[in-house]
Amino acid sequence: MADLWTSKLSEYIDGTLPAPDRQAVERHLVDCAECRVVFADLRTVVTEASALTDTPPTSDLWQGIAGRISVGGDGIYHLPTAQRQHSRRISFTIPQLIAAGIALVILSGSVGRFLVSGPASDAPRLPGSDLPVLQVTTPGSRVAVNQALVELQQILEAGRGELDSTTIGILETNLAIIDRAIEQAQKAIAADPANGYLQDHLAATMRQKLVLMRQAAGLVGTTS
Amino acid sequence: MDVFSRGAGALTKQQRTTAINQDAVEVALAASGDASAFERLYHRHVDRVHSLARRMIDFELADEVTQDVFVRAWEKLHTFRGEAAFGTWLHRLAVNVILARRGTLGQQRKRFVESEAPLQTMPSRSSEPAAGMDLEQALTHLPKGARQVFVLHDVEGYRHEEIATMLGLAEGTSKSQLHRARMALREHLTR
Repeated sequence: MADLWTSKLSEYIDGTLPAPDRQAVERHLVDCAECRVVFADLRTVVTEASALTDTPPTSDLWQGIAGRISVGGDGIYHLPTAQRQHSRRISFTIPQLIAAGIALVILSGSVGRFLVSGPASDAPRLPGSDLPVLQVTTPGSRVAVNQALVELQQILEAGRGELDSTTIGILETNLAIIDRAIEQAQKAIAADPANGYLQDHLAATMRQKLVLMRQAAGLVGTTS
Repeated sequence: MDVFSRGAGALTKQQRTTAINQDAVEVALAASGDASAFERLYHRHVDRVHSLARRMIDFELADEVTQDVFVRAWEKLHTFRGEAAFGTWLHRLAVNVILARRGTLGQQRKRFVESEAPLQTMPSRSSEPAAGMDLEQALTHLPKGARQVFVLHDVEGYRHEEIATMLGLAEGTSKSQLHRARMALREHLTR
């Protein structure tokens, strides 16, 4: 056995040796019992390393993390300042304000009724029913919400047969209301892109949809 | 809008379970300011982050570094675009936080050069070893440079090219450090 050969064994195991070197190592292993032992040992090390399992910390670290995330006096977690968009002077037209107000009233009424007295009273309480007021409206968060909505929609499509017609009716009615509100907000933003209020309103509405669809997906899960 | 009709029944129950990308939903909620969603993400991923920190640095610092990683993740959550799984994004973030903790790249390079001391201090394998636990113990006796490369390559599955970039090393140095770590661990495990 020589260092010349052992130094190549790791790369041989990883399959990263060029073909001529690989063939040379294979020929050498046939003749050198000592290198075969090293080779087997190294493979054992690699196998054991890849089989290591993750273990939890000995104590719960969440409290320390929560303490370092900004928490307001209202008990609501607030994102760091850097994450928020720069505050903008609120500027919107009367029709925009009226449309947004109507949408909010509809949402808080019909969605709230569904969330409070949903069809499956024993369904697990899903996150979102007590969500704080939306605090960020970054493009990143909207992309994430849209992605989540697509995935939830797939779940609902697949699980439609597990829900009764009344539940489906309620969901579709409320989702249609929310979608109209989203559409209105998007149109208003297109006319006034710098309007922070409308940006917040759109994000809040999308979040309402996310919460509703998540609850619906939870119903599918509990009935399957 | 009929959200249920399109492609109904296209997914099997198992596929649906897979499709329930809990992380994506929690990330969306957390990104909008819901810390309870972020807490659920924490509980789902803390084992992996803590294990990485424990293996890459030291047991004593693992708790603190793990907290740093999650605080950093909360601060950077708005930059998560969903191109990769959240777990992958978080893991890469954790590696960055851990490496930053270890000092500047210049100091690291120096450490790689200086850490050529032999590994005779490594204890022999216990008589009735539980392989994983034993390897975890042995890792702590590796020189820092070899240890980082070994963990990133053999435990976490990064390629030498990626490791070289992360650690500011030549790819050849990453390969030689990996071989060195494996030989040292082999000595330990076969004693």
